[in-house]
Amino acid sequence: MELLLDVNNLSITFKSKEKTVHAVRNVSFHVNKGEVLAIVGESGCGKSVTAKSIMRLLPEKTGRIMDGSIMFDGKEITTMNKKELVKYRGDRIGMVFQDPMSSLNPTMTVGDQIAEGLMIHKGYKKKKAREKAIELIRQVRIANPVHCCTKYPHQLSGGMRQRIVIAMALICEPDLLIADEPTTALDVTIQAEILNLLKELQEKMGMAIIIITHDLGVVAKFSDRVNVMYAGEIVERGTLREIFYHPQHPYTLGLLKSIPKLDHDFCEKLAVIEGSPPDLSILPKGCAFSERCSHAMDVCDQYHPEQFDQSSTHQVSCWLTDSRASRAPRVYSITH
Amino acid sequence: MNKLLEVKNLKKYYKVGKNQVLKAVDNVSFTIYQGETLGLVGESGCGKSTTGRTIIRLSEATEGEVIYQGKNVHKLNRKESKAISKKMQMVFQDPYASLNPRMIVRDIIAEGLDIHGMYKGKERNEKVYDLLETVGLNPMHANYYAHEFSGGQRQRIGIARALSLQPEFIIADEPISALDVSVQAQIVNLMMDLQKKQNLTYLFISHDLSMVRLISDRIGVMYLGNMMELTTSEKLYSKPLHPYTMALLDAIPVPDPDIESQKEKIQLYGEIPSPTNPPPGCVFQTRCLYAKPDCFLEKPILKEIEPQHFVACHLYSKTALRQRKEKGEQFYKFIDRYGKKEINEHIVSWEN
Ligand SMILES: Nc1ncnc2c1ncn2[C@@H]1O[C@H](COP(=O)(O)OP(=O)(O)OP(=O)(O)O)[C@@H](O)[C@H]1O
Ligand SMILES: Nc1ncnc2c1ncn2[C@@H]1O[C@H](COP(=O)(O)OP(=O)(O)OP(=O)(O)O)[C@@H](O)[C@H]1O
Ligand code: SF4
Ligand SMILES: [Mg+2]
Ligand SMILES: [Mg+2]
Repeated sequence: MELLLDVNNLSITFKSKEKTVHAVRNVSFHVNKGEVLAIVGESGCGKSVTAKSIMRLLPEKTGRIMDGSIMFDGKEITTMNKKELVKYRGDRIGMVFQDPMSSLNPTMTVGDQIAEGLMIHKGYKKKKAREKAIELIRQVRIANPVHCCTKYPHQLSGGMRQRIVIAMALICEPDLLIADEPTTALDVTIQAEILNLLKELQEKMGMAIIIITHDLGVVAKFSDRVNVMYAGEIVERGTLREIFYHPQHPYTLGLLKSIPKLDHDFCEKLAVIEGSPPDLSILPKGCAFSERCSHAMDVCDQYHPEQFDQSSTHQVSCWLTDSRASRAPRVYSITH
Repeated sequence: MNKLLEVKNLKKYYKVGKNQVLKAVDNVSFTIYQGETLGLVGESGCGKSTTGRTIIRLSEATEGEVIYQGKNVHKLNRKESKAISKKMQMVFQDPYASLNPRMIVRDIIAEGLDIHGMYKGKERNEKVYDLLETVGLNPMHANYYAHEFSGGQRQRIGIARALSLQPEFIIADEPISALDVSVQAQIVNLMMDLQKKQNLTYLFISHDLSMVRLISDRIGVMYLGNMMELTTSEKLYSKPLHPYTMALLDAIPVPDPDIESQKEKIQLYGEIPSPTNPPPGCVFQTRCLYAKPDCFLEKPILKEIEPQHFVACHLYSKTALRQRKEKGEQFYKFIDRYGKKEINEHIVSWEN
C-alpha cells in the first residue's frame, strides 16, 4: 500500500488574550492511497481542527501549528507558501466542511461555485466546467440540476447545501477527500446514496477519504481504519474490526455502548459516559480521560499513558493495556 | 390525554423566482398531547424546520391554524403573544448560526431571563451556572464567547438557553445532530429526565431514526412538505406501512461492521423531486417501488388505517384493500426491496 498522507506529532494551539487552548496534541496518523480512515470522538476533541490543518485552513491570527509535520504525497504541507498551497487545496485535496455555509460564497450561484474549481485548477472553459458541474450535481442526487445551478446558497435547504458542498469537493477528482460530518444533515436514504457514491468514486479513482463522523453506523459501513480521538489526542487506532470488536480504551468502549440500537427498549436510558471532556486550556497531568474513567488507577492521574501496541495496526494509549496493570480488567466484552 | 397543541391544515408556501411557488409545508395536520414527545423525521428539505418555525411563529403560516391550549397562536394580541412565547421555546438546528458570536455564554443563556425581567444579579448568575451544569458544561464556561466552543458545545448552550424560561413546550430542531454519540445519549437522557420532572412536551425534529425512536411516544414521517405516516414509535418501527418509511428504516446504517458488510448495496433509484416542482399525485411516486396508476394521478390523504396509525398512501385505500381481499391476499406483504432475507408481513384490518 502506498502512503498518501503522513501526519507526525502534530500539535495545534489557539491563543487568545486570556488563554491558550491545546486543541490537538501530539497526533500521528497516516492515510494510504485509496483507503478510508474514520476519525471519531467527542465534540470538541479536535477532529475538525486536525482536518483543517491538513488544508492549512486554521484561523490565521489565533490558530497555530506548534509542532509536527504533515506530509502529503511526499511534500511537507506545514511549511508551504500560499502559491503552493493553492495547488493542493481543492485540487488534490478536497474538503467538505462541517458547516456548509462557511464554504459557500453567498454572492455566487452554486453552479458557478462548483465550476470554479475546474476553471482554476484544470483550465476548463466556463461552458465545459458548467456541464461537468451539472453532471456532478445530478450525481449527488439533486433533482433538476440545471435549475439548481442557478440558485444562491441561501435559497437551498441545509441538506441541499451539504450536497452542493460535497459536489464542490469532488469536482477536481482529488486524491484525498476530507469529509467533516458530510452526511449529518441528510436523511438516511440520501445518506446511503451519497456514501455509495463516495465509495464508488473512491474505488474508481483510487481516492482516499478521511471521514469525520459521530455516526458509528456510518463508520461501520464505510471505513477501513478508525482513529478515536479524545481531548486533542488519538487514544486508540485500529482497523475497523479491531475497534468495533476488540476495543481496548475505556473511552472507545463507552462510545460503542452509548449507541442506540433499533432493538433498544423504548424509554430505557442509554448508557452514557458521565461528565464532560476537560478544558483544553489546562492540560491534564495524566490521562485526559481519567476523570471520567470507571477503570482509572492511581497512575492514570499522575502520568500520561504511553502508547501500547496491540497489533501492528492497533495502538492504545491507556495504562490498562500496560502489562504491569495486572489488577485491571483488561478484557472487555462487547455485545451487539 | 389532553391536547396541548393542534396543527390544522398548516401550509407554508415560499415565493421563489418570478412565478414559482415552493410548498415547504403543504397541508399538514397533527396533534401533540400534553407531556408527550412527538418525533418528526424525514429527509432534508422536507419541511420539518419550517413546520417547527411556523408553529412558534418565527415565520407566518400561509394558511392553516395552530391551536395551543385552545388558543389560535397566530391570532393573539401582543400581551398574549408574549405570555405564550415564554411557554414555547425552540432549540435550533444550526449551533453555528443560532448563537451570537460576540456575546459571552452567560448573556446568551440569560437573554430570555432579561427580556422577561426574571432574575437579577447574583440570582441570575446562579441560574446560569445551574443551567450550564444541567446541560453538561462547566460553570467556568459562562465567561467564554460562543465562537470558542466546538459545534457540540454550542448546541448545549442553545439547550440551556431554551430551558431558562422553564417552558412547557420545546421544539427541538435537530438538537443532537451536531453532537457525537456519547453526548447525544447524555442530551437525550437529559431531555427525557427534564420531561418527567417538569412535565415538558416536545416536538423533536431529527433525521436520526434510532434516536427519535428512543425519545418519542409518537412519530410523524414527512416527505416533501407532506405528512406520510404518523403513529406510535412502536408501530412505526415494527410495522411501517408507508413505502417511504420502509425505505428509511432499511437505510439506517448499523453500527456493526459484520452486519454492514453483509448488507446488499442499495442501488440508486428514482429521481428526487424538486420541492418547487413536486410530481402530480403522490409526492413519493418517483421513488416508490409500489406505485400504481392511482399514485400518478391523485394525491393520497392522511387517513387512520388502524387505530392510532395514520398513513397517506393509496396502497391502503378502501378499493385497494378490497381488491386485495378479493384476490384472496390475506396479508399485505412488503418484501424488502434490497432482497434481504427478512420479509415484513403486514396485516391490515379490512374493516377500515
Ligand atoms: N477558532 C478557534 N478559537 C479558539 N478555540 C478553538 C477554535 N476552533 C476550535 N477551538 C477549540 O479547539 C477544540 C477542538 O475543536 P474542534 O472544532 O476541532 O472539535 P471537533 O472535534 O470537530 O468537535 P465537533 O464534533 O463538535 O465538531 C475545541 O475545544 C474548541 O473549543
Ligand atoms: N426562507 C425561505 N425561502 C425560500 N425557500 C425556503 C425558505 N426556507 C426554507 N425554504 C425551503 O423550504 C423547504 C423546506 O425547508 P426546511 O428547512 O423546513 O427543511 P427541513 O426538513 O428542516 O430540512 P433539513 O433537514 O435540511 O433541515 C426546502 O426546500 C427549503 O429550500
Ligand atoms: S401512494 Fe403510491 S407512490 Fe405513494 S407511497 Fe403509496 S404506493 Fe408509493
Ligand atoms: Mg468538528
Ligand atoms: Mg431543518
